[in-house]
Amino acid sequence: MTGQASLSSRPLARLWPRRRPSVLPGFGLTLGFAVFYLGLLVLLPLAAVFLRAAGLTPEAFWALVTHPRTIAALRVSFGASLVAAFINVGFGALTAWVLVRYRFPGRRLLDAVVDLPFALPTAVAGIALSSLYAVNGPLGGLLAPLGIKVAYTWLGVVVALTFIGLPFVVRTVQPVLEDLDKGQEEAAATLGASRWQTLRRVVLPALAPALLTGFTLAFARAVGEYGSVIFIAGNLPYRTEIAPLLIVIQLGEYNYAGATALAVVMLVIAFVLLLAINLLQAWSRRRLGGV
Amino acid sequence: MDHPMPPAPASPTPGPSAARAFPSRRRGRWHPPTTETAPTRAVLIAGAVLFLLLVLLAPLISVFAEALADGLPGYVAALTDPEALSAIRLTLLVAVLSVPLNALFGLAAAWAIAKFEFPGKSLFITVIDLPFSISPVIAGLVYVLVYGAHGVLGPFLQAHDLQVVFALPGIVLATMFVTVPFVARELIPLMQEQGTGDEEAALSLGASGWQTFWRVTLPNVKWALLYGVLLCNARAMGEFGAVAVVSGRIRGFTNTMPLQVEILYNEYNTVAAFAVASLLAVLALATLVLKTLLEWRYGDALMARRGH
Amino acid sequence: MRIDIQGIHKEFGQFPALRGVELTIGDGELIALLGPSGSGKTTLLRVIAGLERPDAGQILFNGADMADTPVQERNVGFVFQHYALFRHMTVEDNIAFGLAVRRGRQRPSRAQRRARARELLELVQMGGLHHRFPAQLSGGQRQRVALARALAIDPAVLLLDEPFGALDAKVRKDLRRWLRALHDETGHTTVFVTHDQEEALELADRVVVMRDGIIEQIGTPEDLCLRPATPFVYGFLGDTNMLAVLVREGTAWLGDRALALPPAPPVPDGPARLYVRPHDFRFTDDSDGAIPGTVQAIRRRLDALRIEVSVGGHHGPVEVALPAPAPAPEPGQTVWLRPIAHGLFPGGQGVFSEYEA
Repeated sequence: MTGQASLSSRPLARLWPRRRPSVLPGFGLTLGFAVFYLGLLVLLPLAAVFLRAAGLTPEAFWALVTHPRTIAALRVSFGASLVAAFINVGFGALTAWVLVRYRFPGRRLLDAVVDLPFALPTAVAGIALSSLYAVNGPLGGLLAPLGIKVAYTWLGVVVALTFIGLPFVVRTVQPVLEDLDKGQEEAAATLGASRWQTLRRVVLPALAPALLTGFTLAFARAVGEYGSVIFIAGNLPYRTEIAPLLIVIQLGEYNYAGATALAVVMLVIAFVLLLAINLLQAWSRRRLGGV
Repeated sequence: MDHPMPPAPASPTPGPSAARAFPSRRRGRWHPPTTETAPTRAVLIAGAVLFLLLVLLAPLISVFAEALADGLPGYVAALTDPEALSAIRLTLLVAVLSVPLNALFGLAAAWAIAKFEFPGKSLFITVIDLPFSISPVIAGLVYVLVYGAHGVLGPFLQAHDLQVVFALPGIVLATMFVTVPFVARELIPLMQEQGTGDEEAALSLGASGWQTFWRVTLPNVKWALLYGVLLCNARAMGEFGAVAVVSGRIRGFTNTMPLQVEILYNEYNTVAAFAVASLLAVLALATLVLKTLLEWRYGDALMARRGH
Repeated sequence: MRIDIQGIHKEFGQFPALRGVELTIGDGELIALLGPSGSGKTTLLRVIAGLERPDAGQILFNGADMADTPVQERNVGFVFQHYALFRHMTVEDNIAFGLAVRRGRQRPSRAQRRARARELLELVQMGGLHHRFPAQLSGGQRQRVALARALAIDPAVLLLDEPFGALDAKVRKDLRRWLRALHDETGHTTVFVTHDQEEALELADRVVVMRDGIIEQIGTPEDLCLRPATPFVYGFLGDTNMLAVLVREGTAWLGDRALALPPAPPVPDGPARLYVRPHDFRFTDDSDGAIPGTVQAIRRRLDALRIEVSVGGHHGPVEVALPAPAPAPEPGQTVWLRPIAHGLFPGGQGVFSEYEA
């Protein structure tokens, strides 16, 4: 099965690496269909964006992406996403810890509720958050006397992005926490470490790769988020206008060049984040795996 | 080698009553070394519950509260509005078209990836997940750039009087783009873990390729397939950003339910907006319940478990 | 340090893991807790460490009750079955962990901690590997790091849970000898848990055989081999044959034959079980008081000739081991068996049948 013999007898095989021989049928059919489908649906249309961007001169491209309104929109998207991702790491870790380590009535329900942002359409979340945090809404009304305005402010963007990002952190940390060997905590205790020392020096480092991955996932999702944000953000240009909304606005104004340039910037950032997540996971597997 | 037998075990073994002879008097400082003290636990649980209530549950509750703000008649009226009904129909149609195609893709991709070794496999898996990391707005944008009036294929489509963008095909395409990975990513790890042993056994017993797939592979992955379809469907029906870009929002024609929610909300028709939203919320809840049931009942058949 | 274990009970839910365990471990002793899985041996080890709280009973360290002393303050070196090394720390940081988490003036400086870790690495013969991560070590090396980490806090007692369980046979044998040498060198009071009788007998000063949460026998390896105290110990340590007999007026009867057995303490009249190890049978020409049988099968092994002899009744075949050079009888041949050592325990058949060899 190693193909050692066939390689030497067929020099071409070395130039064109082939799949390992298998008795199962359907390789060509299924891979062909999958590649064709993915290419037609995802890859070729994506290529069209880069193609369209390539039609711009570098100067024009640069002018578009450095337009103050574009910069402001990117700043709002990335700044709010960063803050939301940090909030989610904190509360996501707490939620995962409580769900995995403690037994209390309603735990299963709580566990199921964590996935709500995955299941609830973003537009629904958007209008619900907006009416909750409006000055006359149930939660906004509580915060207004304290001088805190959420809806139609930058804070509102953070709230919406926290909502949609939370499950990414919880669902990344949870399985790692479940698999965490309690023996390590016991070992730390027998060596004299207090509970707090054990959490800080043994548990937290073990969770760090998962936390970082969850952070990156929540951040990546938040940067591209549209539906849940636009209702609560107020969408003031330069203040609470997010980058995806700016793309929609530019499309509406038939400013295809502007929309394309901004899309390219966001796509590149998305690819970098995706790469970061993959590297992160490979790194943590290599370093911590196999004990 | 002869030797006498000692008569009795070396240790006296008092019965269970001895356990009660010592009342448990050491409640003091001792608690299991791998957990926190009861007050700490209570505080942490309360913190998590409060956070989830405020951030996740409060919006859900407010959807239903707002939808029923004018009472049941207003709710029913909002849902039986012709525009609302047409939005519901369109959303169902989009799901019916896009979900089966993505399921088919998921099965094909998982078969190729899990049952065969070929170069570029990990890259292929990454590309399948790509739509998850792309803003839905960009997913819509790419189709406008390809099929729109000023798009790559725009002139060709206009010449043949075909409309993709601002019409059903565009909505379906954008929805498919966003939901491509759902089925595949449930099936790939599971089928990878299951390996090829079952299929090889079936083939060796004389089954054809199709018979092997229908009678061996599919039953092995049916719950994971259902799980993926469930999540795919929820996203397909609820997709907003991508569809918003390609739909053109022609009332009664290219408005899906999420778009209808937006329009009604922006027109300050709050009750109607939340009424339509409540249907989507019910869909989300049903998805969550089914998903939890599947995980609970068929957890082993869903998840590729590391090391048994 | 001397450890007194007095009347320890521990239940997990409804399952009684320990049912009144009494044991005294002398200073510097090397003790093995031996038993099948579910016998409570690991639970007992964890109770000593303070990882579990007993429902009743006391653990005394040098006469002091440990009930209110949490595990952090008991100063026990515990080596876990799967080592529980901290994966994100280097070998050196793993070993120095117990020193690094000390507070105030008790905490050695970073340089002192490093020096101690290096010193211990030398002791466990792993000098130079201090910068490795646990994932980069072999199983035997991880085992040693776990041991060095436990020794770093200068523990009052060393507790090891199945220390060689996860290693392959060759490494296991080497480490076993090495651990014994280390114990003799450092003189720590040491308790280890094992389900491997060979390991327990070879390594320990005294072996504690446990079953179903009670202690069946405490003794030196020689006691256990030559004077098993209970049918369970008979069956658990090595192969044995069990024959249901009837005792009448001090004589054991197998069916209608009175058996001539070596002298032993009397057993009350009634049903009894006769235990004989395969190598404690001899073939004899003198049929008087011997067990008649028919040779069924013969298997040659490196060290012995194994012969299955059917003895009639409802017994399965009896296994007899002869020294390897012995001439083999023919299958079908009629033979007479005479035990040269045995155990005779009162009670009906079937009570301990699950432990038959």
